[in-house]
Amino acid sequence: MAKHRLLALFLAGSLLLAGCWDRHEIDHLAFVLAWGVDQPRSGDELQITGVVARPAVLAGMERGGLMGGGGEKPYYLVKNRSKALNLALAGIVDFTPNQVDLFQVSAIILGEDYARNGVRQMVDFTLRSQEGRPTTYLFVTKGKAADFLAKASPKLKSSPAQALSGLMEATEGPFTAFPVQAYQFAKALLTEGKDPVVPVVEIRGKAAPENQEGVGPTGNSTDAQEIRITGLAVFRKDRLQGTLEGAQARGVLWGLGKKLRRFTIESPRQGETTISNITLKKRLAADVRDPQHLRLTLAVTAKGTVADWPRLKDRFDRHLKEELEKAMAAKIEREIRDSLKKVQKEWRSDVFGFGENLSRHHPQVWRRLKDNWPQVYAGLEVNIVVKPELATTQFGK
Amino acid sequence: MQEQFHHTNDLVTRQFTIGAGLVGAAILYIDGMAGKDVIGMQCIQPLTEHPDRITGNSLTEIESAIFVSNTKKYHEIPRIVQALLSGDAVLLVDQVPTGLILDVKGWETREITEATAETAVRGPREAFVETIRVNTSLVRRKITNANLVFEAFNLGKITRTTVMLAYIKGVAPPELYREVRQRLEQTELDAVLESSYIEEVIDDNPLSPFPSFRYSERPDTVAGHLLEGGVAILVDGTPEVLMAPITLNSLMQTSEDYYYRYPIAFLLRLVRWVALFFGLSVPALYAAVTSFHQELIPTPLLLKIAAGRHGVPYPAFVEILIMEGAFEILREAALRMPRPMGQAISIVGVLVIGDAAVRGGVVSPLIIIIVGLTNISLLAIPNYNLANAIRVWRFILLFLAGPFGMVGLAIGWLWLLTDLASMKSFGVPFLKPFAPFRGEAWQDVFLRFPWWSKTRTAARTQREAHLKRYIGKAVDRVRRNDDG
Repeated sequence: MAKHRLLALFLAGSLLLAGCWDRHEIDHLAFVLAWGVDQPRSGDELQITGVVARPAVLAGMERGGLMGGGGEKPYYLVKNRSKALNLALAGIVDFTPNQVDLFQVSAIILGEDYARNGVRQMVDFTLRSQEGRPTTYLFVTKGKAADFLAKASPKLKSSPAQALSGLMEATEGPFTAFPVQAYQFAKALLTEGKDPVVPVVEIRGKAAPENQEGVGPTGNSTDAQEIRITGLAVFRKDRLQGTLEGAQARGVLWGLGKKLRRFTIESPRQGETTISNITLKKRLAADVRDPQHLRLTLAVTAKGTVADWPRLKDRFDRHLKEELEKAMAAKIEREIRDSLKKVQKEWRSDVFGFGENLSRHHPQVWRRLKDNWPQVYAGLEVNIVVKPELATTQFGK
Repeated sequence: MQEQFHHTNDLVTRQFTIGAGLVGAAILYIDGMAGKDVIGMQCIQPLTEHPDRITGNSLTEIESAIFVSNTKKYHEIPRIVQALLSGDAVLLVDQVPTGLILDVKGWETREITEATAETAVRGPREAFVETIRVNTSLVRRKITNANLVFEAFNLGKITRTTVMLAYIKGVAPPELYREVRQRLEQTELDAVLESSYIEEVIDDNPLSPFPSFRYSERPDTVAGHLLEGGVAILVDGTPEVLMAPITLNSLMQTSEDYYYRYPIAFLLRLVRWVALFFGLSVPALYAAVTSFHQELIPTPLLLKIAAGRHGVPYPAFVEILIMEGAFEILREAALRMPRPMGQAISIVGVLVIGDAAVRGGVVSPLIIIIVGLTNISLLAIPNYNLANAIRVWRFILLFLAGPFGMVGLAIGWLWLLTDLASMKSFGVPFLKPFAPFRGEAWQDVFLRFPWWSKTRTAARTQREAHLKRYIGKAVDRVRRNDDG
């Protein structure tokens, strides 16, 4: 009986863990949906820009139709500065009458200058702080994150945060980047012999003309001002080295074995052909027989489907498949080589994880090299092997 | 005899003489309970019509002269009184110390009508009525088998209500009906006006809001229960029949489940279990999550809730309490008020409480959805007693979740589960077949395996064996406790 009483007391006592004093009504909270961070020079104060949701405006907009909401945005920006990231974030509370809630943060935008100075604090916060979420999407923007957030005005989503996570979750996905969540970034950062990459986000396109008569939708043309994913930002350790765009960014995508929705190849007979649904498999290898001349190999298997046929009658040509495969392999190899020129030679960033591969399969060699791996790696020769597979029944026999 | 009844107005005494010997006789009955036509045509007429054919010397002669099919002879006054009270007529003959009881019961009864509380789309329509004899015949018509037994008891010191215990010999475990019989005999009640009187005094778990009996107004449900090895208790004057033993699972089933095609029955049962969870926990979950654990809500939904709550003066917990309270009052009012006022009440309920409260910003729109959803969910639970127990627990959980968040809710759930797990109904654990786990019985929990499935037939025999063993053990334990 005493035992039961003790148990009941224990259970009742555990209720006090979360008592009334921990209660925050939902309307007394300020939800930060995304935040950006800038730091002009290393050692400067960090400048935080938080995107805080305004649910009441959101509700009003919906009642009056998405466009006719009186011009008020359903979010507003709050700025704060401090040496320490968590202090800067916590300090937002001084600017809002509601208690700040960081649990709903879905995107963190790193200003270019801050990223160059090192993002260790940010990684630490997202992984270790109670309020940080390891699944938050990371972005690097060219210029200042504050400017990006100020200029961003998504047409379909109610805030930049939702627009960004929408871009990352869309099935079509961007052609030159892939989603990176905080934990993935940290994993690459903490793995010896591997460096992280992060998608680059920018505002591109013409600004909507000011003083337009009547507030009408402006997002119809492709060059309207909108948030775009433009490429990949390459890091070495926690410092940004540079950004890649277009084919060069795609080179990194190939090498990392990500998926790609579609891309275009050129072949002598077909001209431009689109290959869609490309799935990739990559394999790394290192030849350590000659310790003075390490040879690295990046083998990529690319499977895809031919999406369009500029010249229809050729589709029954049995040699065409080989021709297209050859063209695809050549293009993939060229693009990987192109991006390696920047990533490996110039930035000495091991985004593909050659070092990690070496440490697993040849630990003795790795132990010898790891202290100045970036320098060693930059001087190594990479052998690229691409195995294309166009799986389709459209070729006939 | 009139003395015994304090000269009550409805006791009728008809005096006449029998046969050539002009033997004095009197027939007594209670007006309205005995069939007057039957007494006149079948008792008095044969005895008085041809005075020359009958002597009237012995009771046996008289008995064979009348046309009433069921007669008994009593000489104790109390037994005669009892017979009179239950609607029989008594024939008293001059100089004979024995009264002849004539079974001429014939009071006004309600017709057998369609079931109103437990409606069915497919299946028999008939429902029990207030007359116990009609009810036993309804069950008997479903189970045309000599092994179906009805045992009669007269319970209630003042009311002397007829109560019948029904079971199928050879199907129901003997320990079970012996136990129920014993409990019925031990009851000390003044009155039995409804079956719930019996239910309460022979209850296994008198402190729990959960029922120990299942009741039904449908003869097919009762027959199904008897065929599964249970017992039924019929009470005179009550159109519902009690059934025991029960489990949570059996409370969630309807007889209709067995009339539909089995894949459809599966879907319906699943819907019911989901409704059980909704009716129990949704308000508490809402209060806990919106006030303590905002990080659990997806961002778009969170912003919606926040927008809806903009300007609402009360915390979510109080908000729910207000609306749940309002709903309970409306519900109770709708049950108690005179029927023609129903429409007025529902208009006030829907428009004033619902719409105006939201428009006025006193409560958020989501609360209306939640209160509506929970209460509709409770209506999907087939057993009204169970639904009421869930209603009680919903408030307990809400009071734990409101101030203590998820921790409170978790403790509430634990409390509920331990309570349920410790309950037994006539030796059968309430949570069977979940705990104790009986894999083979799961064929009739969420799923309903078709009748033709061989595993099911095998499982049924196994289940019966289990049932017998459980009840046997429990009864043994009770006996040992009684002895020691």
